[in-house]
Amino acid sequence: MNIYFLIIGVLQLFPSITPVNPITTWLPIIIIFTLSALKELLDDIMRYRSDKRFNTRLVSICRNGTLIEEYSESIRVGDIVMVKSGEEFPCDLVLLKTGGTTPADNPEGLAFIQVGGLPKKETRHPALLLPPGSRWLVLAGLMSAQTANLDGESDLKQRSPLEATQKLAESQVLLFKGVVEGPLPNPNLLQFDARIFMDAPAHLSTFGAGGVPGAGIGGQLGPGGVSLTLRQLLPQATVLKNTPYILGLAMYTGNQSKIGCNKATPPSKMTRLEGLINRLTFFIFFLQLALVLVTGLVGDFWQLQRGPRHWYLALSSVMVENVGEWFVLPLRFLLLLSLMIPISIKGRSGYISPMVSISSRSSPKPPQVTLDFVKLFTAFLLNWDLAMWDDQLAVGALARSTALAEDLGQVTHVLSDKTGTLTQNLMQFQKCAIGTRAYGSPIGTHPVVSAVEDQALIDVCPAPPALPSSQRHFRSAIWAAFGPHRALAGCLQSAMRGVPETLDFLRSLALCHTVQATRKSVPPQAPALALWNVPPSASPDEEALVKAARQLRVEFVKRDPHFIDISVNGRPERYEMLALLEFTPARRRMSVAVRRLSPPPEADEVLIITKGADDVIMARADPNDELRGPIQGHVDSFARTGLRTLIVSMRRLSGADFAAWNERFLEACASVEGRESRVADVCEAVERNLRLVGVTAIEDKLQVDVAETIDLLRRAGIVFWMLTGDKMSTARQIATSCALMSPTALISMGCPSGAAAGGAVRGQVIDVTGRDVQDIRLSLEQVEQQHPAGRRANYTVVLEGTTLETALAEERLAPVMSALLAEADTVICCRATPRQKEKAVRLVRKMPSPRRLAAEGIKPLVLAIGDGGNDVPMIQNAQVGVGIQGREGLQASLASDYSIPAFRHLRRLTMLHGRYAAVRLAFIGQYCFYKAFLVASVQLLFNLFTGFSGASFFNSLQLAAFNMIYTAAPPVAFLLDRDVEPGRSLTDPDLYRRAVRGDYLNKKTFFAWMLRALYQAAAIFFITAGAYGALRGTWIDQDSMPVTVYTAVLVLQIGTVLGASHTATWINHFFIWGSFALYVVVSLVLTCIPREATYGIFFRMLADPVAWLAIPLSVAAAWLPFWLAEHLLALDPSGSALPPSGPPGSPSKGHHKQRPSPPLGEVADETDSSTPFLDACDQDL
Amino acid sequence: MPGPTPSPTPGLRRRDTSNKPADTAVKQQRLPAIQPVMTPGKVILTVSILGTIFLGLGIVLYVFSRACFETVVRYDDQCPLGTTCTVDITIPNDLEPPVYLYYQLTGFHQNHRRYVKSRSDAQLRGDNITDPSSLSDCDPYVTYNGTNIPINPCGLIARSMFNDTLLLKKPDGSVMPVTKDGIAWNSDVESRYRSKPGLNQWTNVSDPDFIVWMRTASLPNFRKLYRIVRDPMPAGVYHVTIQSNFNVEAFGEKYVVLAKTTWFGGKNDFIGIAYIVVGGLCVLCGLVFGLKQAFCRRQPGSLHSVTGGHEESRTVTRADLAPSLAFTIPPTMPSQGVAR
Repeated sequence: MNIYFLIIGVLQLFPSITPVNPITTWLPIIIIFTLSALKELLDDIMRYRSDKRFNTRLVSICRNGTLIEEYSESIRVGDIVMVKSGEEFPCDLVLLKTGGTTPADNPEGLAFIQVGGLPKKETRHPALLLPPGSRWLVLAGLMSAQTANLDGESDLKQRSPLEATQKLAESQVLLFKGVVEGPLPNPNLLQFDARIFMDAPAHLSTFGAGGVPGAGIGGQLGPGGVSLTLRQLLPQATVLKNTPYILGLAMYTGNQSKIGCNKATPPSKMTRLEGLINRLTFFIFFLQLALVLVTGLVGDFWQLQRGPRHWYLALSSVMVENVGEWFVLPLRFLLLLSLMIPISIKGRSGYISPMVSISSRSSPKPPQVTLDFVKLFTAFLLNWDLAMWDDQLAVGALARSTALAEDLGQVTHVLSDKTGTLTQNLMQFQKCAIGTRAYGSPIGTHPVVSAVEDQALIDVCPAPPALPSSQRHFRSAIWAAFGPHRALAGCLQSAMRGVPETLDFLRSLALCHTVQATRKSVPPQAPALALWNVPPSASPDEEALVKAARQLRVEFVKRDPHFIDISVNGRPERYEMLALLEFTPARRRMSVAVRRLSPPPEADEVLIITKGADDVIMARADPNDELRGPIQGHVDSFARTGLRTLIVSMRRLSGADFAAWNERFLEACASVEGRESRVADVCEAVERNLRLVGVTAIEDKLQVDVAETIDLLRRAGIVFWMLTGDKMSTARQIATSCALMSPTALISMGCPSGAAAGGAVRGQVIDVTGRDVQDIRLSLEQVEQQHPAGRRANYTVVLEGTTLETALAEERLAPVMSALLAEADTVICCRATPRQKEKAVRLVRKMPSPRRLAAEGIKPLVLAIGDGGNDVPMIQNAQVGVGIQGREGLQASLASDYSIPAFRHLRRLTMLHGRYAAVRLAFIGQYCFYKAFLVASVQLLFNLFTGFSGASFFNSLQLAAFNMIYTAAPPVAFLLDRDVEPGRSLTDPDLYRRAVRGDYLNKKTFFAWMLRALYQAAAIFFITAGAYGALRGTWIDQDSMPVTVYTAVLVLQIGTVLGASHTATWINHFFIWGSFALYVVVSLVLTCIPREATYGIFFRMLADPVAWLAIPLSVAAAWLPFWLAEHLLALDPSGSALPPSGPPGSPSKGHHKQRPSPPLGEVADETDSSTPFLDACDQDL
Repeated sequence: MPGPTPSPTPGLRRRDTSNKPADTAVKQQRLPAIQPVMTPGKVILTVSILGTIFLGLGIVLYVFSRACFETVVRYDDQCPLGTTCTVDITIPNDLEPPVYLYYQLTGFHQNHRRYVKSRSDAQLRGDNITDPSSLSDCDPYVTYNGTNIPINPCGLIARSMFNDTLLLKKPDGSVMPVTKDGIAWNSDVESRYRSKPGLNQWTNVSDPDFIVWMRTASLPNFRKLYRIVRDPMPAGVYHVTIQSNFNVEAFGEKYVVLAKTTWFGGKNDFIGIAYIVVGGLCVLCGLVFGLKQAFCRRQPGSLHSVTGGHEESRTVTRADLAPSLAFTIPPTMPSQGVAR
């Protein structure tokens, strides 16, 4: 692309070729390249500064046993570095010692690191400061991609030093000598299997002597050493939190750090509109070439055949003597018409790149001033939107990518996470079942707790007496939070006396978790409130469970690496923590092994407590347990009401058995090779023959307005996929309450496929089940029988992540599966892992779009929305990634293109901002081509009368200033235009569907604009010529006529932009009239300079009545037909042509451009009609 | 699913509202529109009024143009190259001065690129240019054949200057007094053409005839002002004696034109007719759609007719900020809420 403009520019330097002064091309080129060079320079300076800031940050490095402040760039591998709380790690460190806490407080030496815990200032507009895909995003994404547990996670991560190094005194650590054997620098953030040798042979006893400690010396060390894991690795670019300071060993530095190895720029996303504009630019380019060839050759023949007759041109010998002359005219026309491609709009990847491959390589990002500016401003508008500001979280919407705004207006598929995205991720313990009995109030009816009940509850569960007044609000806060299940509390309180299972259940809740009770946060006056303050917990579910147990008088007091203290009804109990088998998405369960210490137990037995997903636990439960039936029943009934369930189970082992197992476990944990799978195997060995204890049910409330948002977006034709880690029944329940499974939304659209389907049964729910290929095939065959392809419409597919993955991996199943999914209105994918979510995104992007869209040539455009680290892969792989800046930290938000505070803002994001952006950009883009084509057309028309000689009608200055100055600002100001009011844009799904369909910019509208330009050029040129007597013999000269035509063209632009505007504000008026005023002023100045060719011309025009008659007439003739058509025929050349709306057959002629919003009455009726379906759905369940 | 707004756990997050966007009209996209809402009714009205104005203006222009005197007589067929001949021009009614005498050429591409650029403004301005390379624009007439002496004035335009002479004679055969003064633009005469003795110019550069010729015509059929008659011209048969030197045989024709002007320039029916056509179409358009509007409006049961009747102009658009509000828009709310 740039090469093209360069060629044009160079050609213009040849006086024999150029029809105009080189300034015509060079001025815009220089302006644009200067602008983009400045932008690059700014970026580079920013990068240099941030590099410098990073490299010259002072860190405490140990030199000869003392800590010295040095620049971080002087850290060498093997240095011992001290990092304080809130500081960022300057390189990958191995955690040696956590300091600042007494062993009693923090015996394990836990340190907390935060991913993406950047100061706000830097995260606010990363689009401007950091290139997309900067280290934060990558880190956030990869760190959490697989470590995330299915139910969400916190952005705080625990790290703990080895006991051996932690117990050393600080001074010892500083003088510490040893060898670390670890893998070579690699990008794997999830694995760090290394060993540390504390007492290494003397000749090796310095860290970092040979650069990276590694394989080279490993051989000499032989066996031994203590294993280091990810728990000891502090990755660069994360931040130390809640820990006073740490001492660490520099392991990988600079670009060798984990994050350095992961640095990569994600592929730049090109929006659909840009793609189209690129293709259209390509078309214009070929049109231009064709015109150049035709006019050039005609010109050549004119010179050859007719030229010699025109003796005054002295042409006779030119063409015959010099063959090169044949190329002059085509090249001259190439220059003349080069302005058909507006230099300011150039396509992103360079449309000419297939032909001139160097161009794409030499400058991957050609400047595109107009569109870039528009997009940047659109991003600002989005950031400024108060309606998307959340006062409680103190965050608003944030566009991290400035490039994708218009894609938001053309979304066809939304892939959504559930927890934290559709729901609030505020876990409330609602119900439980212990043994055969279920407790808890019926869900959905928020019980209004009467004063009597309140009183009763206080009797049973007294609050800590004599709270100081400052704590009182705390108490009420607790009670408010627990409101809905005070009844449950009451029931349990009474039930628990004399029922040992109840106590077991509650103890399990208090023991089996990873919640930390941080001593610091415990107010001395109210120790009971400890958990309410800062529980750095891995999951909100666990928090809710521990809180619930505490409310029921089984309180988790504190933990250290080896002991857990709880208090049961006020009596303290102490347990020894023998093993912790962590929760992972793959395991979907966690276990602890504990031994009671006080009060001393009767027998030496170890308690294995396991809680986890129902299917996982059931598979490992004692097959003869008589509770299997009842428990499964409870799980199902809880899940049906949309609750998240966990089964709590227990196993008692004799001390000896446990010791034997523990030995194998420790061995597996210390292994360097295949550690992961070995540990998993050992865990399986102990987590079996479990005795079922009970079921917990946690409610995760839907966010505000989720159902309305989904309903509206579905009416707008968007296909929804809900991807959740929950079990199927919970997912279905949530989906139903989110209006995801209602079949009405799309029926109301009267979409073509609906009509075509005829007698199809609507709104089926199609289940595809099976975990292996055989089962899935059977299931799919069954689906084909029950709902043959032609007889299903507006259906929902429910399946599990594994089913999806397996089916897609199998060659023969994949087409059937994707055909089924492609036509579905809703897909609910439960028990999906992050990896499967990512696969789903890839699938949808490749999938054929539903027939109703495919009929209009629309390919899927996927928007993924999620809130947690587990959604990051999904978000990054979608065309548009939206992150909810919710309770699960910043990972999703950082990895996203757009970050919003809550799901309901998706509506504003897509239906308002996205649609506006699409509409505005459609106009601005097309207008830029239109005005360039208009001027080019005038040039072409003129040359019909110059013997095809490639003469320029306008002078150089007029040409250069037209695109760059006089008509540059008004279209840009158009980005404030609101084609409909926000209220209507937000409520009328039809408008959104139109944007998706590309009604505002498609080939048709584009050619309509081009034809318009051609017609207007002809109208203005010929009417002006006629007015100057061209029919008889004109008296107008070659300096004056262009001025009149030029003025008319500029006046026409006022009309065109104003005509396309819907809400011209004072800003628009300022730019529109200001541009014209500028033209007048410049012309007046030029007309006063005696030596210029323009001397006196403009004055003469002003004094000439013909000009005053010609301009209004030509502008009226050029503009009125379109204005009238737009308003009276409902035929809008800007692309928003309204299809016959409302009931088919209603008169579509002559109605006004703005149709009324569809009556909501209709909507209500449709919603009513959905009830039978919902009933059916319930029965289904 | 309206529910309570989620309340974050107290103490977990500090509220920092420093980044809260400002509630300004620009940022919240609710700048009032200063633009009339164009309903079909208004459009029809506008178009009808505009059409009427155009129609009226067109008729006036046409009448003036018709009334304007102009005679065009071709003479290249009567006057072979190198001969002298006389053409007669009949003036039916007495003419008040000024009356203009033009020559008109057809098929002559004064706008051909090769021709247009072939001049040197600096040289014409009187600069003494001795270096032929700075006259390269004048190609192919830069220097005298075989020498390095620049032609002054150089270039194709000057070289091909119209050199027929036209002599206007009264019906009685005496010479009609005419003047060259005022045929060229003042701005050109004053600053762009200088003849100086020492420059060795082959023609008088400051001669108005030359200056008129140098102002190249925009289109291939053009007329150039030759002389102005400052005296009254009584009706009668006038004669123009022409010395024909200028060769147009191969590509066009030569005419002599005697004409008066109207207040809007030379006699030109086109502009009046064009106004009448455009104005007429506008009125017709207004009529057709006006009738349609009158008969089709407020059809019972049609949604769109409701909007058609809204004449009220709304200049202020309010952004509907509350998302929940959007659901409470009454079902019958017409589009009047939308500016435009």
